[in-house]
Amino acid sequence: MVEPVRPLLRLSGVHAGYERMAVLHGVELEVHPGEIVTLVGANGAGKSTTLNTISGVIKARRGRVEIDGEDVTQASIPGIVKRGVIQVPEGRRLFSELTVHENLLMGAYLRRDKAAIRADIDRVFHLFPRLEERRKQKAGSLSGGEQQMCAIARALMARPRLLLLDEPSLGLAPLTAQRIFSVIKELNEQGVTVFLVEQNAFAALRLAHRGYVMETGAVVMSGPAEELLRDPRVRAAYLGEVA
Amino acid sequence: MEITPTTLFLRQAANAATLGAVYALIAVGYTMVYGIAQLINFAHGEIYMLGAFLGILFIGAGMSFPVAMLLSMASCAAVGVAVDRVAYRPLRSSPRLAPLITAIAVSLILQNVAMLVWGAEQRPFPDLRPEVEYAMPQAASADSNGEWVAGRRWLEAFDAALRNRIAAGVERRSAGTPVLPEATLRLLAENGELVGLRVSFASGTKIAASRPTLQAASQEACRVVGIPARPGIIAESRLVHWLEAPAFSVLRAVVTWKVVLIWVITSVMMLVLELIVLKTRLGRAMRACALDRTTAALMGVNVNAVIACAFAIGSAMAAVAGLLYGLYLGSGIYFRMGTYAGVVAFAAAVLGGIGNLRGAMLGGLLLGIVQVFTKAYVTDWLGIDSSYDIAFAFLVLILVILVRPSGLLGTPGAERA
Repeated sequence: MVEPVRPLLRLSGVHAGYERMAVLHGVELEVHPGEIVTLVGANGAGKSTTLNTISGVIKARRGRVEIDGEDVTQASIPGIVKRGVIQVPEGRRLFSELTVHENLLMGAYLRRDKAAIRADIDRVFHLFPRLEERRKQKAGSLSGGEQQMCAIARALMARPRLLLLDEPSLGLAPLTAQRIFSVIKELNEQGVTVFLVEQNAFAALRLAHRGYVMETGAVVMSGPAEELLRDPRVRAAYLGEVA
Repeated sequence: MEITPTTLFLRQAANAATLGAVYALIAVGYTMVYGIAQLINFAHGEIYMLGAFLGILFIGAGMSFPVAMLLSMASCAAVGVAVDRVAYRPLRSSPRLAPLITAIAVSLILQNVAMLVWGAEQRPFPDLRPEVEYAMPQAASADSNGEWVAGRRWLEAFDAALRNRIAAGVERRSAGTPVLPEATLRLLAENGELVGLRVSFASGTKIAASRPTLQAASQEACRVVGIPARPGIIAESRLVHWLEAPAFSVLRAVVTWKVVLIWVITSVMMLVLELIVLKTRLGRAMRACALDRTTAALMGVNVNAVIACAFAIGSAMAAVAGLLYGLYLGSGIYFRMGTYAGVVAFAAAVLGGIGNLRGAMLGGLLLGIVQVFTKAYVTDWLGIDSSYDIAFAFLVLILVILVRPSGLLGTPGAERA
C-alpha cells in the first residue's frame, strides 16, 4: 500500500511501566491510516501496557507518543479519546450494571449530535443483531461473545479513527472469535484504522496488513503480515511450529 | 384535652418521617461520593452545618426562604467542590487512609471557622412570622397635633425598660437591636372609642424576650407614663406564619405546613436526584465511574469532573438538610451540629448499603424512625435517659450489618453502586 508521510500513530523510544516495574523498553511502532496493524507476542511481553500508554492510562517515562504527528505523551485519557483513538480494553470492561444501550451511549460520551448517535446505534445493532435483542439487558448478563461485540460496538459509538483492540478473541469460542475477526476486517474496509493486540498470532497476522512482534517490552521484529507469517522464528515462537 | 395513644403515635410518625428525611438528604451525599470516588467524606456533616448557618444568614438578610435555600445550596456546592479539590483530589491515588485524615482536618477547620464566624452558641432559626403584635389597651391619648403622645411615650418607656433588662442580663437578646425603630404603632379602636395602641414588630425582629420580661417592661412603661398597669396588659396576638399553620390533621395529630414543606422538598430533591442519575448523561457517567473509573475515562469521561459533580450535588442536598432541620426545630443551629447528624447519616448510608442511592434514602428514613420511636416509647420504658435514642439507631445498624454486611440494598460482594 502507499504509505502517507504522516502516520496516524507513532511510538518512538517509549519507556513505560508501573510503580516499581518497567515494562516497555523503547517501543517503536507506527500505524498508518487505513491499516490493520497487529502487535503479537507472548503473555507479559508488554502488549497491553503499550495500548494503555497510547491511551494515556499509563504515562510514558521516556519517549514520545504521537497522534497525527502531535505529541500526546502527556495527554489525559479523555484527551486521547477526543483525538479519535479509542481502546477496546482487555476483558471487555463493560459497565456491567448498565444496560447494553447505556453502554453504547457511554461510548458516545463526548458526542453531542443526538440524531447521529441514534443513527449510529442503529448501525451497530445492524452490525451485531444480538445486541439489539439485548439492548435493555444489563451488560453483565451477556455471554462472553456478546460482551466482546458490545465492547466493540461501544467503541464504534465514538466514531473512532483508530481502534485499539486488546485481545478481542480472548476466552471466546473459535467460531465467535472468527466472527469478531471478520467484523474487524469489515470495519477496516469501512475506513477504520485498527491496531490489534493479540496472543492468537496466527489469526491476527492473517487479518493484518503489517505486524510487530514484541518480546519483553520491545519490538523485536516487524514487517508485512504475510512475511511474518512465513518467518520461521515467528512460526516457531508464536504459531506453535517446530523450527 | 387528653392525647390518645393513637394521636401520640401519629405525631411520632410525623416526627420520624421528618427527621428521617433530613438524615436521608445527608446520607445520599455520603453514598454518592463513596460510590464514585470510594471515599468517605467525613467533612460532609460540616457542609450540612454550613448549609444551616448560611441559610439563616440569608434569611436574616431579608431573603425569602426559597431564595435563601437556593443560595445556601449553591454556596455549599461550591464549598464541597473546593474541599474535594484541596483535600481529596491530590490524594486520589494514595492509600485509602490518607483522604480519611484530610477529611478529619477539613471537618475540624470548617467547624472552627463556623465557631469563629458565628460563635459557639446555638442559633435560633429566624422568625418566619410576618409580624408580632402586642396590644396595649388604654394607653393612648392624642395631643393637640393629633399625635398619640402617651402611646409614643409608653413605647419609649417600654423600649428603655426592655433594654435595661437586656443590659442587666435578665433577658438575652442580641445586642444593638432596639425595639423602637423596628416597631410601628397603630391605633386601636372599639365602637369608635379609642382603647389603645398596637405595637407591631416587623418580620424578623427578634423581640424578645420571654413573656414575663415583656410583662415587666410593660408595667414599668405604664408606671412611667402614669397609667394604671394591670397584669396581662400586654396581649400577644401572634400572627401565625403560614408555615407554622396546620396543614392537616389526622386524629388530632396536627401536621404543620412546615413539616409538609420538608417532606415535599425532600421528595422532590430525591426524585430529581434519581432522574439525574438514571436518565441524564452526567448520571450515566456517574454510574459508569462508580463501576470502573479507568474504563469510564476510556470513554472520554473526565473522572475528576464527575467526582466534583458528585460533591456538588451531595453538598447542595446537605445544605437543604441543614436548612430544613433548622426550620423544623426552630433552633439547634450551631457549629458542631454536623458531627452528630453526619455520623447518623453516614450510618444511614452504610445501613442502606453504601454506594446505593435508594439505600441511603431508606437507611435515613429507618434511622429517623428508630430514633424517634425509641425516644418516644423505649427509653422511658427501660428507664434510661431519652438521649440514648441514638444508641438504638446504631444498634439497628449493627444488627443489620451483622446479617447483611453490604447493607439493606447493597450488592453482596461488591461494595459500590
